Amino acid sequence: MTTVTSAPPSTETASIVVKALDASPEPLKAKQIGEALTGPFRFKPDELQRTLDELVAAKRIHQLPPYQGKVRYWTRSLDEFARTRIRQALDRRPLTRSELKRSVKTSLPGVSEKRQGEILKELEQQGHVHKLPPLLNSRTERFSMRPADPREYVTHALDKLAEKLSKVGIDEQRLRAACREVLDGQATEPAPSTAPPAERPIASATAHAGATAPQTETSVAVDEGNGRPPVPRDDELARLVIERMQAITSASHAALVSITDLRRQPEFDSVEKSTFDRVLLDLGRKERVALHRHDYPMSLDEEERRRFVLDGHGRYYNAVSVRVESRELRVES
Amino acid sequence: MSLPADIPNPFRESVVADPWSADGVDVPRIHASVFDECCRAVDELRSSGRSAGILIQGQAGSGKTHLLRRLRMEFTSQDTPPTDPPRPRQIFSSIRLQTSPGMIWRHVRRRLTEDLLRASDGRICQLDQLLRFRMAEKRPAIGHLDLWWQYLWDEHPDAVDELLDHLAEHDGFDYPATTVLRHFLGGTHRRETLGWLRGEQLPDSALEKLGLKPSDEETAEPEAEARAAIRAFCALAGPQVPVVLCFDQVESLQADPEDKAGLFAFGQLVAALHDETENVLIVSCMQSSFLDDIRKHVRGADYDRIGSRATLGLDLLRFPQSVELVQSRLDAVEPLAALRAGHGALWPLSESDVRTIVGDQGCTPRELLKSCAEKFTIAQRGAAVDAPPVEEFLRDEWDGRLDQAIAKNDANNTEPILARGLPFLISVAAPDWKQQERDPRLPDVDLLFADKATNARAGVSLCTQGSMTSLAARLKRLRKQHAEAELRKLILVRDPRSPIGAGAKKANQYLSELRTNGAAFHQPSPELLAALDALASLLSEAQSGDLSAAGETVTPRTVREWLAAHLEPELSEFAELVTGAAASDDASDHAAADEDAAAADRLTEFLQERRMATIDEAAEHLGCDALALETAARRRPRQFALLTGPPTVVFERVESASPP
Repeated sequence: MTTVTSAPPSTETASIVVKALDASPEPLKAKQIGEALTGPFRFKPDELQRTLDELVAAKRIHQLPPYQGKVRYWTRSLDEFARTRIRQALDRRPLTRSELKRSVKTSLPGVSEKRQGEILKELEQQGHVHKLPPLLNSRTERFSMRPADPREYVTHALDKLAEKLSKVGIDEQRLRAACREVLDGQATEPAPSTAPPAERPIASATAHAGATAPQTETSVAVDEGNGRPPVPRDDELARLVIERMQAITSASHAALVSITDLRRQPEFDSVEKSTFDRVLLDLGRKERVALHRHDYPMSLDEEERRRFVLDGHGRYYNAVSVRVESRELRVES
Repeated sequence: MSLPADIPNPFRESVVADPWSADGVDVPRIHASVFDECCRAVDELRSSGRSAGILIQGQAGSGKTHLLRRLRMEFTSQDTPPTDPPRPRQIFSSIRLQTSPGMIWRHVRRRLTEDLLRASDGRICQLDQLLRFRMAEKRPAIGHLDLWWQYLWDEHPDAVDELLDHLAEHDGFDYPATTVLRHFLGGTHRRETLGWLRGEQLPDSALEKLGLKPSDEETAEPEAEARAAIRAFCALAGPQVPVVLCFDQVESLQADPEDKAGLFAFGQLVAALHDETENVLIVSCMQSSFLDDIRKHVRGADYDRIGSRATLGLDLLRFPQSVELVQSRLDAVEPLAALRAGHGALWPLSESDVRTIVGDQGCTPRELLKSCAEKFTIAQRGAAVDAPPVEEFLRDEWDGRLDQAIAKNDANNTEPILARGLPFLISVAAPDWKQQERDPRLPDVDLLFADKATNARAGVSLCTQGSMTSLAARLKRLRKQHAEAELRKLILVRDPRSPIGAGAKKANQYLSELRTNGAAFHQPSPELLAALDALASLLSEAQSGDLSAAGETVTPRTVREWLAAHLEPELSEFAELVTGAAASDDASDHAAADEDAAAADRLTEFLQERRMATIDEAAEHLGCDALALETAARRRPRQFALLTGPPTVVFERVESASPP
């Protein structure tokens, strides 16, 4: 049974609360803070509230505007919170200005659209956010945490061309053959990334994850201070993928798992799409999973295709199963 | 060494069209685990007493139908079962879901019955085997079952009735079903009996022959009747004889990619079969591309039942399996044996060829065979032969399917052809229109279409009843529904080969009233129905990933675009009748068309009695104008034949397809 102390808030108590808020990746409501405190630092709600009020008055923590009817507290300012939210949204995939606005709208009460625009500009000026040129046949600029990747533009243009030419009977295979001819033997493998080490590979949904050689990436992606858990290594991810697949299918052997469902698992929240795709393709190459290609990707819109795993050859995989012969195998660390 | 040009390319055939097709090259190791799981499931059904579902998913060309053929061979093999009396080990039926959601139960009943009536390898059909076995359980058979059966018929014919009554009591067969089964066992009124078992709408005269009354159309629910019949067939098999129902081409239930009703109806069908039977293994085959759609459109509880035992994926082939498949195809061509001696096992191909085709993620059997066929051709002729353009392929497919549809077209198929084909036709010819779910206020309007922009609705009622009593009852109800419904147009469709005779006074009266109130009456020609059937079959196969041009899967979008550009004029007119302000709305055209149709109806009825007559005799007998009658007959060349005179003689054409 949990004992709730009635001791008055002390300096030590206040610093524990500050520490808890500091460690939190996002602002917390009073109730959430209470639940985060343990042992002797669990207080009655009114006492905790008094401590929080004192800390706000002393400007040691910030009180943020109500969200879902309750104020929240954090050691960082509202602007800082807005910066984090924007970075998180752009980290998933490039967004247009209006998509970004919609994405952060509900979670940023108290931050005007004008202020959001200013923060975005600041992030851009500081080099944290990149403004990407519009895709083919579009005039809308997009924003991303990573610089523009030519592969995304080429893939997008090829998709558009394939759609257009399929109407006159030219299939995707012919189109790709023509591209290779036009390039006249130039290397079709993507050039090694020139991004600095701190930059992660492009998170674009259409990045050519599979075109890269099988990776044995062992580095752990660094928590950039945006409050997200560190990204696991490829081999750990592979193990997680198999585990989650077995959990989704209740360990039913060879059952198909939708890539969309798999990607939605919370374990992969912080994993970039390109990394996720690379791990899946690598598991496929090693015959641990069987990837299923979508037969008519061009019948889907771009948003839908973006949810699938894409290899370096314009193939979209929408489902995956653990190979029967390898279901007992454990992914080696 | 070069390859002679007359050696057949062993990799050309890459599609198994039907699980009942003749046995071909099979590599048991491919998809062996999925096959084994199905076999285990059948064995376990015998003891579990609970129906189960297995969902099999794979890419287009991954071998779903091939696997069903392997299951069919396994489950219908001739091994003598170690039982006394001998009984079938299990019942097998494979059902392509080329139907409309509103007729799904009737379609399953028809296909299940057809499979139950299949007699292969000189053996009696599955239904015969079942009935004899169940009767022998009740009245023990001594010695050989066939001899016992003969003895029973010769010496104790009354006992057959008693045994049938016993079955009826235990397995839920109602009086009409028991009566028809007796005809089946006795071999009497074969055509009518088989038609009834398949769920066809029989005319009053056929029902009379069978000793049955026309069904009460006020309360008749054809889907519910079909569902009850399927349940009864499954119960007839009993707990020791599992019924394996394989559903293929589930995707073709969707009239267009946005259609939700088809997949939803499939979920409901499987759930009902799963819960209302005790001995059924439901094997559902779907394309893995539809995985997310299935999850979205099928109710969660229904989805669970579809894969209640297992959900299995057909993995892509890896290198060793691919080598085995290539080698077995080469082995099957005898003239190659001598040429291959002294070369590698895959000659004229090589392991490296296969490795390249398989790639790092694997390939489908269809992809493997396609690439191998190309390489074999190069080895044989020194150069690749360009595959014909997809337009040419589709033209050939269309012509072939149309010929087949014309050959098998008869009035009994009119309702399923219209129910399945019309939504496809509208989706191709009038993409601005969308099929809607049935309106409970309009139970006799089978198909509803709405203009996406204005939401104006057009309804189609399939008035295909064979019995005039049933037809009159439907038309009477439609009269009321038409008056109350907000429909821009109501089209009543009936096959011209099932005439509404002058004696059908009520039916004629209600029809006339409906037309006076603006409903259109359309009698599609057999040619139009065949074209509709061909269109639906082509699109269904494309949607199921089963349409392959030189080993390359042809997408539904390609087929739709080709069909839209090459639609037969009669089909366009039919679509226009439903969705547009069609010419038939014009009063004078309408009246002329009515008279023409009525003349053809009456002539049909007259010729069913007289077989042959001069036009003048027929006109005199029917009390109508001879020229109008001759014109009506000439407009329907598949229905009537005319011998140029004088005098001009007319007679009814005989159906080219013989009944089974």
